[in-house]
Amino acid sequence: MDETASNPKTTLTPAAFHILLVLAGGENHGYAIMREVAEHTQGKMRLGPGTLYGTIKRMLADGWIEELDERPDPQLDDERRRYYRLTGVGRKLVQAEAERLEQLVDIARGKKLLRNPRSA
Amino acid sequence: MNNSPLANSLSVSVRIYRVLLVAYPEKFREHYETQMVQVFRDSFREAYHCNGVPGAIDLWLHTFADLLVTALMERIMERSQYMFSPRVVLWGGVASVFSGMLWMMSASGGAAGVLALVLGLGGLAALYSRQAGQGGKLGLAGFALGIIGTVLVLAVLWWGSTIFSGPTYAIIHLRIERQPVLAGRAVLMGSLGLVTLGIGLALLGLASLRSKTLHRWRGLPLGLGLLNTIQGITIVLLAYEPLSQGRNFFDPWPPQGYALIATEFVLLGLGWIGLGTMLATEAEAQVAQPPPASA
Repeated sequence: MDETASNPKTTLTPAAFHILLVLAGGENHGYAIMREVAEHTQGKMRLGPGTLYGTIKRMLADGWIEELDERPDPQLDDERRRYYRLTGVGRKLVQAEAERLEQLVDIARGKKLLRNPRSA
Repeated sequence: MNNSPLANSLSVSVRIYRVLLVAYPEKFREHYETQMVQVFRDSFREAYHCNGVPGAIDLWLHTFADLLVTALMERIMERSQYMFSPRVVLWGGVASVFSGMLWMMSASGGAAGVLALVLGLGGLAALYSRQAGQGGKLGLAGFALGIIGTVLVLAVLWWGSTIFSGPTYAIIHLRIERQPVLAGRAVLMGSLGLVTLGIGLALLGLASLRSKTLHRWRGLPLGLGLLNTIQGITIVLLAYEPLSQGRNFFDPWPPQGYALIATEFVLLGLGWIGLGTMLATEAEAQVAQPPPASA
C-alpha cells in the first residue's frame, strides 16, 4: 500500500488533493468538506456534488480514505450524513504531494517569482 | 416546511435536482444520491440566504455544469469496466480467429472481406481490453483509429457495391471501365481505410509492447498493423494508378500483382488468427496492475 504514495505515477487531481487536505484536519462529511475547500481557496475552487462524490468514490476504492461506521456526534447531526477520514495511505499521499508543491514553491522563490518571501 | 420563498424554491430545486441525477449510472446513484441531494440542499440554502435569487441561479449554473461533466465521466468509467474484462478478450479473440479465416477466403473476392472486417472489430476490442487501461492514450488512439479505418473500408465497400456490383465478374469489369475515375476514388478511400486500420493496430501493438500486457507473441499486433498498412499501399499502387489514368486495373491484371495481393491476404489471415488465438488463450491471465492513481 505504501507504494502508492511513493510511486511517481500516482497523481492527485486538484479536487482529490483538496479533499485529502481537509480530511488531514480530521474526519468530516461531504458538505463540510465542500465548504472548507471553498474557504481554503478563497472560493476559487467550488466542488459540485458530482465532483465531490465522484472523487470520494475513487478515493474510497483506492483506499486513500474510509467511511466512518458511526457519526462523531449523532445528537448534533443529520443521520443521513456520512463521515470520511484519511487512511494511512491517504495521509502519506497528501504529505508527499504537499512536499512536492513545497519544492516547487522553493524553486519559484529562488527565481524571485513570489512577491512575499516566507519569513524564516 | 413553511411557504416562504426560500422554502418553495428549495423544494422545487431539490425535486428538479433529484430528477437530473438519473444522468448518473444506477450504481453511483445507489451509493451517493442521498448525500448529493443533501449537499445540494445545504448549498442551495446557503446560496439563497447569502445572495438571494442571484445566488440560487449561480449555484444552479455551477451544479448543472458539474452534473453534465461528472455524469458523463461516471458513465464512461462504468463502460470501461465492462470493456476491460476477460470475457471481452475471450470472445474478441474468437472473433479475430474467424476474421483471419475469412481474410484468407476473401483473396478470391466475395462478401468474406466484409465479414472479416466486422469480426476484426472484435479482435481490436479484445486487444484493447487486454491492455486493461494500461495502454494509455496510445492504446486508446490505436483502438479509435482501428475502428475508424474499419468503418471507412466498410462504408467504401457498401458504396462500391451500389455502383459497381454485378452478377458476374465481366459485368463488374464493364461497370468499372465505364467509370474508372469513380472506381479510383473508391479504391483510394478504401486503401486509406486499410492504412488507418493498420496504423491503429500498430499503435495498439506499440501500447501492448510498452505496457507488457501480452504474455506471448508480443510483436504480433504491431506486425499485423504494418501488414495492413502495406496492403493498403499495395492496393493503391496496383489499382488506383491505372484507374486514375482511365484504365481498368483488371485489364491486363499483372500476375505478380495478383500473387502479391493474394499473399498479403493469406498473411493477414494468419496474423488475425494468431492474434485471436493468443488473446483467447490468455484472456484470463493476470495483467500486472499499477498502483491506483489520479482519483
